[in-house]
Amino acid sequence: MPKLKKNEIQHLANLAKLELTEEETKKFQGQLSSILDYVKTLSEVDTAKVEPTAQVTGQVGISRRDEIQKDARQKDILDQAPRREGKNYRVKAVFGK
Amino acid sequence: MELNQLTIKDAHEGLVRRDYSSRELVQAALDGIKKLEPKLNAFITVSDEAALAQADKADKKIKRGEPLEAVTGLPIGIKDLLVTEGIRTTAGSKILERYQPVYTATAVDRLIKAGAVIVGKTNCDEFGMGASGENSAYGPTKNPWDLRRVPGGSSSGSAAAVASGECLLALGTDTGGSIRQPASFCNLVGLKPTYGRVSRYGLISLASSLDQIGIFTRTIEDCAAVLKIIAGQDPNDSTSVKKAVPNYSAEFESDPPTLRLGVPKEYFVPGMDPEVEQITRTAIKKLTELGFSVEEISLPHTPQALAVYYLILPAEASSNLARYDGIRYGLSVEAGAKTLDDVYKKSRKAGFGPEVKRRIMLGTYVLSAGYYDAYYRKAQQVRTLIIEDFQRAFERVDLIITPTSPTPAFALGEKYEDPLTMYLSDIFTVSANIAGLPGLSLPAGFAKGLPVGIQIMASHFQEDKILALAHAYQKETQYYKQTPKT
Repeated sequence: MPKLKKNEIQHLANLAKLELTEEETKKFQGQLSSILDYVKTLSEVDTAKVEPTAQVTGQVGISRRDEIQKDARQKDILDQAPRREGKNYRVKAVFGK
Repeated sequence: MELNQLTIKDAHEGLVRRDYSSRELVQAALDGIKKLEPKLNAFITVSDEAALAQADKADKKIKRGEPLEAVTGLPIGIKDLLVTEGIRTTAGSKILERYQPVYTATAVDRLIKAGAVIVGKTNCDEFGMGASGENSAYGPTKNPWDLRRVPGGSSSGSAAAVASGECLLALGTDTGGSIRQPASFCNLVGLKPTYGRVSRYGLISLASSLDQIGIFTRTIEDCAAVLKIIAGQDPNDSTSVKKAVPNYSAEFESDPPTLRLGVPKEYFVPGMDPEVEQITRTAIKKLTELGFSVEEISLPHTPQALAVYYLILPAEASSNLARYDGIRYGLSVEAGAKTLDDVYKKSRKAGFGPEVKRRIMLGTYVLSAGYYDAYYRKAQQVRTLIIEDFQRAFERVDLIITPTSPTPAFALGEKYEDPLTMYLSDIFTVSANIAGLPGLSLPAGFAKGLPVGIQIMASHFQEDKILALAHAYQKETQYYKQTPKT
């Protein structure tokens, strides 16, 4: 597999909400390409008639009653936030000016 | 006998006989921590005051003659990937450096209710991503058997802490070998139970379809006693399975059951350490001498397991770690940020280490449009084939015996710069996670003074068979009696 291009790494970083340094971008070009090369070996396995597995112990559709439970920890949970106003989280503008 | 080298069984019996108090046991652990931490760095947070208060509570129980559980009054360590109310929980990451959980993981809660005393939160690779402990934002943990070497990972601190006597047992998590490989490197028993046997509630998610909480102890009896406490269904984890928890210790008194053992030929690969291979073959011979039947089996998709793992894991991790955005909790960087998007990116840049970023990038790639079928779906399909290999094998045998890791503990720094080589360290352990099977690493000897473990795997929920076999082997070999000089 050809090495991932710099702009591909930057596009991925943007999707993953990561800001990368020049050095990281360069490093990931090589490292991600060699890991992807390694996992490519799977393409040799014939899986034409194989179902994918996501759950291994056969549990299906486990649900619980949709009941409101009282929880006294609201303040403790909100207190973890770096910035808030009352019961709301305070964030920067979603769109730039 | 020193108080911090006791097995759980001996410590419990000593408490019952009142040879010593829980306070003395916990103080011995805390003294060990004070003395050894400058060398080992096995703990991120030590909770000494709370621990002594808990110990006094246990002592009162003992004085009143109340019935005790196997872990009552005993000092334990908890991997810092399991949330604990009242004790900061970092996941080995800068992004959670000041995180104070408002709840406690179910497995930990069950140990606390049984009277266990938490002495601290153990070091680990950031979010469990690593096989050496070197990816912790709080510095690497050293192996008590040789301080120039890694203790294995990602449950690096839990393994080093139990091996060195900083606590008598520890919980870890295992997504691809993170309990079994460090147990092998540190001469401990390390169990990854069946997926769903132990609730994952309060386990900071790495890869949700692979993660499982498990146990580090010195002996099999101790492992069985702790599993009995932490196993069982939990309404807070819908993947935990409603199935009775057997009394795993019950069978140790009688002769071991008849068990058929399989040795997969694919697990003896070129490039593995010759001494590790020798130790594994000797252990298999010993099991034959003990009267167990051994046959060669085949798990043909073994060579693909690691590739499957390194697709499923980053995919699930990249979505699980999307929650660390600097808004509701954790590190937040606003300096220089104009928009919400900038805050996400700057917080994650400052908070995550290189391996975490690497796996998030990889997961984002394999889940992105156009690549999903070629990578992620393909991995899930080969996952099915790996599971079918095991199903066929378990029609013929009860248990599968393999090496735990291809090498003994490697040197600090040896594999750090080369992620792919580091990933190969998981080659014998990832399959159990891919198929959700229970797997246990058991001390089986030493290679140039370094511990080497063997792995026993079983079909879903057959931990009892694994423990019965391991107990029979341990009784004959008693490697656990050797402890590091550190």
